Amino acid sequence: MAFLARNKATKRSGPSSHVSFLKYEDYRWLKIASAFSALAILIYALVDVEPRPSGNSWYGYTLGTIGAILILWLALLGWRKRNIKPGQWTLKSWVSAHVWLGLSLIVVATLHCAFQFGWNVHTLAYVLMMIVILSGVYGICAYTILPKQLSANRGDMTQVEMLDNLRSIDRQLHDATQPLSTELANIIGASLNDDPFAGSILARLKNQYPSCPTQFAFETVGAASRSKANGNTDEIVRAAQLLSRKVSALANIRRHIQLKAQLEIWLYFHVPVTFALIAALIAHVVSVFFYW
Amino acid sequence: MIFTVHHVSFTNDGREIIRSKDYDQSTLSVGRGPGCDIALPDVSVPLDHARITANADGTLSVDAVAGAPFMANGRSVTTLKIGRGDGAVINFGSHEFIISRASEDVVIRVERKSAVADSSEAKDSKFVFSLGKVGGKMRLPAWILVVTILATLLVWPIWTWSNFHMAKSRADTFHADQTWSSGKLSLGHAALAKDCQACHVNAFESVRDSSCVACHTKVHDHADPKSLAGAKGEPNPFRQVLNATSRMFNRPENSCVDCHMEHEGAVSAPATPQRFCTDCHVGLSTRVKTTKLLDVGDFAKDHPEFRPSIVTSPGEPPTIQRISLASKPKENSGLKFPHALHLSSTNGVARMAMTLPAYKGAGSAGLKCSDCHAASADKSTFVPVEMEKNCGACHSLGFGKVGNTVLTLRHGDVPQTIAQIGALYRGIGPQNPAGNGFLQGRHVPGSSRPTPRFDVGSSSPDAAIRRVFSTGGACYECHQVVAPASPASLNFTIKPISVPKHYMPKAWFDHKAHDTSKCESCHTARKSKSATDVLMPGIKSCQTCHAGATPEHDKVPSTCSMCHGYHFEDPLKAKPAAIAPKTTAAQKRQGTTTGKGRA
Repeated sequence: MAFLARNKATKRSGPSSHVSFLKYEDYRWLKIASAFSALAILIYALVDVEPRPSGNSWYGYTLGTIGAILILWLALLGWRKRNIKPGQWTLKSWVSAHVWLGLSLIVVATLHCAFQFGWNVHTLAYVLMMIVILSGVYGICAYTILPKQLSANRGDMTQVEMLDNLRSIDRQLHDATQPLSTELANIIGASLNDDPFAGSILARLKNQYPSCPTQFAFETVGAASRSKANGNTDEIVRAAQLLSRKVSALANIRRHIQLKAQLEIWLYFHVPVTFALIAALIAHVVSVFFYW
Repeated sequence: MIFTVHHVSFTNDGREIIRSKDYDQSTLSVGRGPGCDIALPDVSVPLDHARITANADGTLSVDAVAGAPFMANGRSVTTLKIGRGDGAVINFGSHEFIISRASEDVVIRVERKSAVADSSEAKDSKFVFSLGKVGGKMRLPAWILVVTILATLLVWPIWTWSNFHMAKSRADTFHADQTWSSGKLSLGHAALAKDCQACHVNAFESVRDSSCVACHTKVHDHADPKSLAGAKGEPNPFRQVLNATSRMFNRPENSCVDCHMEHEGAVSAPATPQRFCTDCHVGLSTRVKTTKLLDVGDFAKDHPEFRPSIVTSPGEPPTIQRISLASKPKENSGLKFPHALHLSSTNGVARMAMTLPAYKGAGSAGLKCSDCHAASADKSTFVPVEMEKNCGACHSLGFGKVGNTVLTLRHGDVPQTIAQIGALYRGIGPQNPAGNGFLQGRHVPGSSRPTPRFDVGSSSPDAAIRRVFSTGGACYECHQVVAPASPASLNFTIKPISVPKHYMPKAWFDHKAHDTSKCESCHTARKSKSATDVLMPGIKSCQTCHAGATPEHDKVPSTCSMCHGYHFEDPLKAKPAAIAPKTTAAQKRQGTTTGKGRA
């Protein structure tokens, strides 16, 4: 089909300005998916299926076949993105088609079942499909909004540089702690031994680390540095300054972790539920023809 | 004794660097403090942690200074004695001391075992920043879901099916294949909800008719299969494709399930779609040349005028013809009954009805339809009119009196009537024949006082009998009398009353559903002056409220199945609650099943 043919401007080789996968080739896949959905709705409205529209009508079976093929093709994106090789379609083209055709699946599947739902394998497949699609919609939003925040947060630093910065502070903190009392040394030691990447999925998503040893060390050593009762005040002040830098570096890292978590969390639903969906789809199709 | 201390460290590529120092002293101090002999740059070690002492007997003592414990050979202790010639492994914070002996000297290997900070340890930045570090692999949950779904919703139901395959019934409990049900069964089939295999017998085979007729034993075919095939005609190309696809998937055509959809919700079985009728009946005569059926389409446009069953000649059996109401047919049921006369609100009938105790509730407007036509138990139809019950209040058969008891003729029994009248006139019957009402006409029941207009004053038994069967006589008033061939004979007979059980035998009609309408809005009985009038309403009367399959404003959408059945010959059977006319004792005697006395 001519409209599916590769556009020369989107060849893999050669420089090109960045175009979002949503707008890819001037919304080509949005147009195709919209036209397809509109056609499906139009036929649904015009076709007189008696006693009422259902999956068990010629139009129901037609939409069901299209939907099943679409689901399998959409799932192939997982395979396609791992097979990076020159081909007819770029990965961006795939993603664009994946997104827009995936959204049109809401129309196809809903018209296929003709709004009939129940506690059965058929509705299970529908619900799983909707979970996959809605998590995908979240993914689209995340990929649209979060990358800007991600780069704004880390400034010019790469992930490696963020980690190196933390290492550098930790080394200095380690040295600065040597002359300190056992009590303070233990408190700072807890900060040094704390793994900044150990937070749970929830902690990462919410960016909340309530019992953070570095924060505790920062507050305790900071208070000690302001107190005249302690000896070695200069050393304590130096440790407090380093802890202040560490708190700041850690906040940066944690915000980065949070944004990354928000950017990736949907895949934990999208991917496993896709497999569950394919299993339910198999059960759905087999059951329909088994008890035909 | 000399202590030799080897400080071990590593280059980036893992090469070992050893810096050694000898201490010619009996005690070594260990701690973070710069003044210690072995100063450990380790924040988890106290400034002054421990002493290692070489005793005179060749043993070594390791003692914590401020009570902070250390690890010795895997145990947390504050003091340790090392025997002469023995070694030990001691951990102070992150540092490991391996103590060994070289002749009289003590060799201590000091090595930092963990990084100065967690961040210093090797970390793959790509991995640690990603959710994958704590989220784990997605593969495991994916497989768990896949296996769970396939096991519970595919393998288990199939296992259930194979367990009960060809079994007569299944226990009334949950069975896994119920998870495959696409919707609730209709009310009639609700009891089969847990018994999928009552209908779904073989795998990958659509529900066969054999499953249906296993229970529906009395359902017969609509028509001869060959005629049916001929009536359908050639399907259009689209339908041909659908049919071919159905066959490909082992779903033959012309099966019960073609029309009877299931799993469409817990309601009465849905009406069969109109196209299942019109596919054949529109233009039927062009495909089946021999058919007597008229072409029928949608009720609103393409339905012919009704053709009720009309009795054209009463008898045994009566002659019944289906005649279109368009040709204004006349009925000859054997009965003489002017509806208009009986329903008038001003004439003598009305006046009489008003004086009768049984009809006083009727008000001042005379008789109503319901005074004679009683609804059946389910209100869908009417019970047959009976002379004694519905006419006898006015049309008395009283012919004499014994004491206070009024003697009546036996209705429906002609020989008995002739014998009774004969006996009366031969002096063996009741006294006071001159006052007998049956000879004289109507009078109020309970009273034997005649109305003078009908006083015929017969003088002999034969004349009296002839009078009863002649103009003005009690029998002649309502019945068609067949006079004897010989004028001398008294062998009079009465033509049977033949009223069809059902005027529209190819359709059913529920009066209860129409009880908001007055009888006269469909049946023009008030204007009917003769029993020969057919009071069945025409199609236009129905069409004022009933649309065709396509909804119209203020009209009831009506498909074929609203009035017609596919499998039933007798509409009264189709509506089981409807009551067929009962056979009276007289009918049994006369051997007729036609509706005696049914108006």
